[in-house]
Amino acid sequence: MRGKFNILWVYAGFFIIFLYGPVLLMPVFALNDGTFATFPLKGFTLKNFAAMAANTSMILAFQNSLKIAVFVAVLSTALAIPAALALTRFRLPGGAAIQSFMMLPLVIPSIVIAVALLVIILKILGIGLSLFTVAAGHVIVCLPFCISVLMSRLEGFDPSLEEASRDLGCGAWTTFWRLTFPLALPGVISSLLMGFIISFDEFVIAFFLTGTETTLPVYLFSQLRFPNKLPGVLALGSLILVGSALLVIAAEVIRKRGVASSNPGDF
Amino acid sequence: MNPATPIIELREVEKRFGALTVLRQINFDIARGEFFSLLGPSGCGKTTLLRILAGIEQPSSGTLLIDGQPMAGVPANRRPTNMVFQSYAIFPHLNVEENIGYGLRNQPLSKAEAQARVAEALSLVKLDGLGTRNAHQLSGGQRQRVALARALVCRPKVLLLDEPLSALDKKLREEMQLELRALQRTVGITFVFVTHDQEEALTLSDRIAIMAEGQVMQLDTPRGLYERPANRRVAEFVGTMNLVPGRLCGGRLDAGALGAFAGSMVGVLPEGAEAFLALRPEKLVLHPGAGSGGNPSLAGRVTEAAYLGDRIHYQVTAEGLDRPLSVSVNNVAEGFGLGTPVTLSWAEGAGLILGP
Repeated sequence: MRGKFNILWVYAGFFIIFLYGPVLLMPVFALNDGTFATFPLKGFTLKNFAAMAANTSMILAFQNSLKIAVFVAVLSTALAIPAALALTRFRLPGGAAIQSFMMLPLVIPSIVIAVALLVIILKILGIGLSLFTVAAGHVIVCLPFCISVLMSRLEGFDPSLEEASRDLGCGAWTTFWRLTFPLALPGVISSLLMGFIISFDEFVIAFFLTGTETTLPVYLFSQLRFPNKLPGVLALGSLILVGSALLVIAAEVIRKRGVASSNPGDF
Repeated sequence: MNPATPIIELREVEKRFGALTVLRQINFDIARGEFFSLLGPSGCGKTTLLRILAGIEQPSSGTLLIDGQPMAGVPANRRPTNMVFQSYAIFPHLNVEENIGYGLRNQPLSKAEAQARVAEALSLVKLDGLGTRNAHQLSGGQRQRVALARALVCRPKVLLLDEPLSALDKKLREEMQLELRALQRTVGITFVFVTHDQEEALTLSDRIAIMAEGQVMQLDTPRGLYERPANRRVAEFVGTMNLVPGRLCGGRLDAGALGAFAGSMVGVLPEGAEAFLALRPEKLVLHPGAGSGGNPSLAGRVTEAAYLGDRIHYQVTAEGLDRPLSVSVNNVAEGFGLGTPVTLSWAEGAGLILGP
């Protein structure tokens, strides 16, 4: 059946509206000259965006989020590299079990992780809540993503490359730095971006584990109590939306390019 | 080190993967400067043996000496061997020069010395001027040359080659065979070459070890393997061989209704044992008509003829034999048409009597 009316196209249309419609309303209202997020729109303005520059507590929260995200991206990637290497290079006894165990944080609700960590940090370790405790929680959530991104990269290349490097006189450490790391670099970069974006957007763990300083998502949430702050929140949300989208696209482009170049021998 | 001692000595080497034994009782020496081939069907353990020489795999038991030094516990990066991998394993993030110079960075050489060695290796494998090419810009033959140069530039005592020509097309493969042989004579390094292509092994090697099911069936020169194969399996693997089955009876092969045939015995077989009379296609002579040849002979009918220009290959179905016999004759006389009754004869000493 090749009629003009195709039910699948309608389905696809609704699907996309359902998925992106609400999100795309946010920048629309952020650019609207009015306090309330309602139609009809009143007029175009950039004042909500301009007001952000003067909002010091928001900038502070932004800086905190940035610091945590960078720290988390680097730490979880650094931890994920040896794990991904071990899972792809060796036949570990119980390798499959270890792998699913490492991927478990993906399916545990973050509120469960947050509460469990809160109990451990306060009652067992007796450490005060700070940005560090938030970062520690974020590393747990980011690790499975980083590991799977790196594993898909490391699985892609010919195992005889590393054997050749050993055969040419390189020890395990030299082989890693001269061969494995450069080849895994696209994976490492997308792992860094992935860790950054997950940590930057994360709310539940940050909400539970933060001390006096807040991260950007937590700050956003706290602002929702004041109706007159809503346009500012929408403006901030729009910027985060654009920034996140750019980062994810960059990560995906780098990963795709990496996959394409891992088989240079195929003509 | 005494030049008379073998470069490689293998003593009772075995390799097991779990319950599976892939190599057993490997005992042989490889001489200095030799072009040595490990020939066998896939799964016979030849690549595993090569990887044991390289140090990528460790033997489960037995000893390996390279240049008189025991290799137990010596990792691949500390062995005087270098390998050309079947996939070539060209490092995709490096260009040709960097690939070739990869191993030199682990040697105490100045930058200038290393550069000179790389340039020398490039011209040795005829890749002058391609030093700055990227790995993915190379053709199959060029990748093979880079892999060769990368291994040779380290000046190994033994060069290991794992089916390096199998990925190339026929024409290029034949060219590379000749080049490889010439190269081996130039550099004078011992080559250990793994292949499943018997023609390739015969063309290239000084000596060949024929392997099957993890064991060495026979180790000999190409001529020795072709002319005196140790058993039926080697005979069938190297070249074409016609086999007449029967039993050993008083130093002759008793083939039942076909008669008893004399032949030169290979190895020692007990009286009455299952044995084969083995005849190479070029040792057989075709005569027109049944029962017209001298003794020994077999009668049959031409069932297939292939014209090869300089030679004609016939398939002759003989009465009392399951498989047709291959006969190769010079293209001088008149040919035989399909269905022509013929007699096959051979010189008394041309047949071999082999065990299974």
